[in-house]
Amino acid sequence: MNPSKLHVSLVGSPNSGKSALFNALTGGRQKVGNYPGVTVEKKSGFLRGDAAGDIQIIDLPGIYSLWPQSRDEEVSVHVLTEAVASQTPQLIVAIADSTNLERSLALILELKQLGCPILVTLNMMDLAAKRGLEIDLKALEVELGLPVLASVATHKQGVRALEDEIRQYLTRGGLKRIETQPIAQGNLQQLLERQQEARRIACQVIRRPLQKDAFSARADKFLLHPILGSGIFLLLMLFMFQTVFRLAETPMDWIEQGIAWVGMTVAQQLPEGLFRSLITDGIIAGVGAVLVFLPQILLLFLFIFILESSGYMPRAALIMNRWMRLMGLPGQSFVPLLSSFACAIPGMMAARTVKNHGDRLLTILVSPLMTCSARLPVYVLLIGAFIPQKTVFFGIQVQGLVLFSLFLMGILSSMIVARVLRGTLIRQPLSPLIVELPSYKRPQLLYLSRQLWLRTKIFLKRAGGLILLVSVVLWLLSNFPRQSSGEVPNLRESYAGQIGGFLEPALEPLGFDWRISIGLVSGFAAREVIVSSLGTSLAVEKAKAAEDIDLATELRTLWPLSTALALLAWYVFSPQCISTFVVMRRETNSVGWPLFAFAYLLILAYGAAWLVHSLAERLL
Amino acid sequence: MSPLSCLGKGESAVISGYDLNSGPEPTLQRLVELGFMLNEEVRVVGRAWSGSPIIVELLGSSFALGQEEASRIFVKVLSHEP
Repeated sequence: MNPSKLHVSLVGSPNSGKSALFNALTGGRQKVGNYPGVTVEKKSGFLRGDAAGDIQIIDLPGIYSLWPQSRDEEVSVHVLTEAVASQTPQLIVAIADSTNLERSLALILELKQLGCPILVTLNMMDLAAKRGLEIDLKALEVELGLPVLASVATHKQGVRALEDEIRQYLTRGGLKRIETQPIAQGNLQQLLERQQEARRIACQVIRRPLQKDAFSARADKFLLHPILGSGIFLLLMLFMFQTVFRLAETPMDWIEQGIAWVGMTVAQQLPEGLFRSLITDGIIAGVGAVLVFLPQILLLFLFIFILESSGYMPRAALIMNRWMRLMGLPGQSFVPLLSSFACAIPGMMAARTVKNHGDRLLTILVSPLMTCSARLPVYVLLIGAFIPQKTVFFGIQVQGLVLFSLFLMGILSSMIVARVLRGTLIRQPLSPLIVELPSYKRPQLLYLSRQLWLRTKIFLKRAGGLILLVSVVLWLLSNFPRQSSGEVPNLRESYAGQIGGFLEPALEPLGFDWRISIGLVSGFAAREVIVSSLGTSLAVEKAKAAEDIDLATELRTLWPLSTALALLAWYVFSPQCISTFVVMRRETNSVGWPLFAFAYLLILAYGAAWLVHSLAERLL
Repeated sequence: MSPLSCLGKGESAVISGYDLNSGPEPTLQRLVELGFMLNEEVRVVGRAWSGSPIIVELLGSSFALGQEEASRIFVKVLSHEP
């Protein structure tokens, strides 16, 4: 063993606070949440202040035992057993949820069989204390024969002591292995014996028992009520989409004005010519068109983070369970599908928590149907341009209602697709329904603001990278080839116009013109790129500077309502976004399934857009 | 002895056995790992109108179990608390 390097694996049951402790130990910004299955892959970082990189902290997905039942659990068990097999110096920090002591102890007893040194930390001690639980740490140390610390990872309490303990393991000059026993997996009898032993230890060390969580019990009477619960869930969702529209209005105006000011200033400073056109019509018009939607995206994420950290998420899964099972999806798929509202990629990865292979595959295949945040700029642009800003009843805006319906259409279509696939290609029994309902917690303001800042950085990075690149390429395609006189070509005759024109016949039945065709092609890089594509092409076409282009107004004069509605219908299914299919290939370990997903999404998008366009042409 | 799935809302019981034959062992394994142990007290606090899932309290935690999963656990009824 090399005593100078140390791997510290954070191990514990799901929702025991591993990621919060990982963040506290490494200064990282790992996502945490109040539901099982937040971490689905191994994450690593170095202990704070460890400049030499000697102590690597590894955050592992939660496990209940060394007998894995899902992909994420397999990752943890593999990392732990691999380190043992390869003799890698490994210290296990076993994170025990203090409010679930018996369960945590059973896992620790099993971990002892690995033969690695173990440090136990009783996490969430604040919640345990609130509920009257008193644990004798010294007695627990004696019972387990392991050092035991106490922590509240979310408030960084007890983290310093844990850091010191970890460092001591390294400075002691190597890790002594403790007595190893053979690991017996898949033996129910042994599991029962271990649980009995855990119960015995818990009885020995608990000085005052855990009281019932009265607040959660009272809240669940309403939130999980068969009728009231569903009503509250629907109202919450409706409120979320209304707020996304209403609250974002003012900051969106500020950003719009800021972009216009930048465009005007740059245009005044630069001499007229190709370079100025590239900066104002290409970059500022293209990137600016997407940047405007940042407030709405952040508001949507704020709601999702609040739902996640409060503990409501598994309850929502339960409310949706009946409908989901009816449509061939297990309740466990709800959380991955809800994550797909942010982006299908983390959603597909979160499907690793779904035990049954068929259920997992089904969840992955339908996750692109959930309305990801990249569709939001497209929806908002088209709704803002074509749907009147009217209030219908109880102050509910039509625009918010349309946005809500589009999200709902995504959900409903995913259920229908799942039902069809369950009856045809994926005929396997559904996963069992066993869901733990965590106690409600008040979301932490600091965590929410950090996560929003992280999302802002991701969004700005995307706008400054991929969207900027596509905007420049599109500007080049829109400005060349030059006419014989050296003039900028008519946009229709430019390379972009030629590509759009080539696709136009295929998309004409949907009411899509060549501008939309270009946008749909560039949308393969990222769905929202269509917005910047329209921004750039209109700026070039109208030969206007970015500050003079009001995209919504321009679109209203260009397209009839039927085209806008057809484009909205297309985007409900939207087969674009290459990265989704790349990750799908990795997660399904097959080329066939992503190809199948692309084909079915394309057929649905085309069919829905054609239907909506035809109906709108006749009825409106 | 009756299956946990047959308990009504508000009823408390003690786990007295498992159905080892009518389903996959991993389901039972997961239930035991979560704390559904022999002699442990369990209380039904909610139930969907369709009968599934049921919401139970065990060791200070709440769980939602499907009808099939709950029927793998046998219990002895203790009391009814509305």
